[in-house]
Amino acid sequence: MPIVTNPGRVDSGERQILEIRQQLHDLSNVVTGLLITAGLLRHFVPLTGNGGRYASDLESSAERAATLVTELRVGVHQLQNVVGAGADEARAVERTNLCDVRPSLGQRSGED
Amino acid sequence: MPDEHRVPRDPGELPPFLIGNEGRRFGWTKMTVQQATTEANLLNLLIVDDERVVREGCRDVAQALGFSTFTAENADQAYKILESTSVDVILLDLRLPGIGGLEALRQIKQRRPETVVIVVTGYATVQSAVQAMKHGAYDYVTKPFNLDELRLLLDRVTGHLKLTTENRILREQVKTRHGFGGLVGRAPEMERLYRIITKAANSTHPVLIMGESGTGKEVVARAVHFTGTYKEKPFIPVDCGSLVPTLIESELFGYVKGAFTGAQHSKPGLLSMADGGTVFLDEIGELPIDLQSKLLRALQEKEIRPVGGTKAVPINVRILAATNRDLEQAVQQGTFRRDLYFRLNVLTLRIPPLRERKQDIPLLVGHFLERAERGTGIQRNISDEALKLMLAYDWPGNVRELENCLDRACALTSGPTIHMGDLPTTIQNWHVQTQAPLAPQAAAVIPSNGIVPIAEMEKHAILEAITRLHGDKLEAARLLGIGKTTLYRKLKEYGAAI
Repeated sequence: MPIVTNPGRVDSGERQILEIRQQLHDLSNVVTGLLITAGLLRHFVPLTGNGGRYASDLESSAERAATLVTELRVGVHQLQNVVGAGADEARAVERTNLCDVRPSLGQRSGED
Repeated sequence: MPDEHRVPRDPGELPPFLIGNEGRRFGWTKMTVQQATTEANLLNLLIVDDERVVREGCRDVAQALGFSTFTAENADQAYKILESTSVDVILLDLRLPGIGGLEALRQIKQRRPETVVIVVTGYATVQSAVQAMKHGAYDYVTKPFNLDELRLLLDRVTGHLKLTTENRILREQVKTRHGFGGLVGRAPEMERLYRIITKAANSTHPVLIMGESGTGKEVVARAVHFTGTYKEKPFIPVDCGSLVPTLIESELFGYVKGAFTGAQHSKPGLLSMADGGTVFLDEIGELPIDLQSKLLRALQEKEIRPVGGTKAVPINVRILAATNRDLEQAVQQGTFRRDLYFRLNVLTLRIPPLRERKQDIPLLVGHFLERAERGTGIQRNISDEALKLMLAYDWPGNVRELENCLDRACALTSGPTIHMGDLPTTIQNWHVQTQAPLAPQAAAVIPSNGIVPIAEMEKHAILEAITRLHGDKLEAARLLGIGKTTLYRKLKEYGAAI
């Protein structure tokens, strides 16, 4: 359990995490656009030749970016829990629980 | 709204990836795509996302799956689309510029409670998911998602909506057992009508209901309203045929204080009072020509000007109109405005007259007798002869005439069974008129000079009636319109067995 010695510092940490979360949200948007467009492109471009290879590579990279975004989100969330735990003690507020509900995964929530 | 647009669906222009070799990688065979396209073909999808690439990517995929798509980059654009279009599914980004996604969700569900909303977010939390579900979201998904995941999501919602529609139809059928939304009938023409009503109920376009007097035009209008999205909103019927023109104008458009003698207070018009609901204009063909142009302007501009007022009042109303007149002919004759006719005639429902669906008469009789039983507590049935007579009759007044006929018969009959004699004389006379020529032994003797004495005709009528009614003299007296004492006296005179 982290010991909070400076509440002001905790607030600042939380603000930073909030900013990162907002950037993560934007990044998720960008990666979603990339994933869908790459998917569409891959199916419109003939498989043979460089065009097909580039489209396939683009889709793979987009998939990889999506995985990284998910991992990053989990990382930020863990960080938030570390910082937030101290603030919780100080302010007795409920922590935010991350959830990941992707269509292929079904209704799964509460990954904490 | 530069980005707002509607993309007309054209299943014939499916992108090659949906039907080519690559489609198989995702399990998108030609058959599944065609199936999905057919199922989704009736659905309107609105994508609300501030990220253009996401918006357009989702739109292209949904369009390829057969959805009619609309896009909006913020909540205000989405509301505007919702005002004019019946949207089935909304993909709603949780973080929108200006108003937040959750607030947008709340307002959408308030305006369109039946619309399925899928909340999409780039940073999901349990709290926001719970909030979204509390506000009525159907699903909650996290970005980023790929093409295949999007397809799965849309497939799932298509299946859900298909099931919901089927359930609604079944519920309506169970409610009336023999029909749909207050309508009774199982004739193929009626089944077809129910299908069109279901479609009309899910749209916001004006509907023109055509049918002879007494076929149930208002019942159909109510079915359209009460099975549709706006069933919680008001349904306001206005009979244009029974109101004087000045009254129709002040009723529909309202008036301001001092507009005319007696206008001591301002009164809002029915078109503005409907407020998201339906105004049913019965006998629209009777609307005076000057009011037709005023109504047309109101429908086009979505605003009305109350009588005596200078300020326009915005309206949000769906118009259902009905007539028993041939409006096309009225247009030709110049008594009905062509432009209003086209404006109202977006969807047309034709109700078949009862003589074209006589197989429904037993169902209708059962329905009205059940209803009478609920009112009086007396269980009644109908004799085979009376039912045969009703089946033979052409019912020019349609279902309303049948209903009145049974109400009258229930009031007149002394026992639990309704007999031929309890039916109105019009129907009984119809029976007599359409009967085959009388049997020779029962026919009146016609003298060589061709003149039949009245007494002979009377004797023949009485004896024939008793024969046809299998000896029921009481019914015969009723049917003939004479007292039972007179009947017995006449029989004594004829020397017939009493």
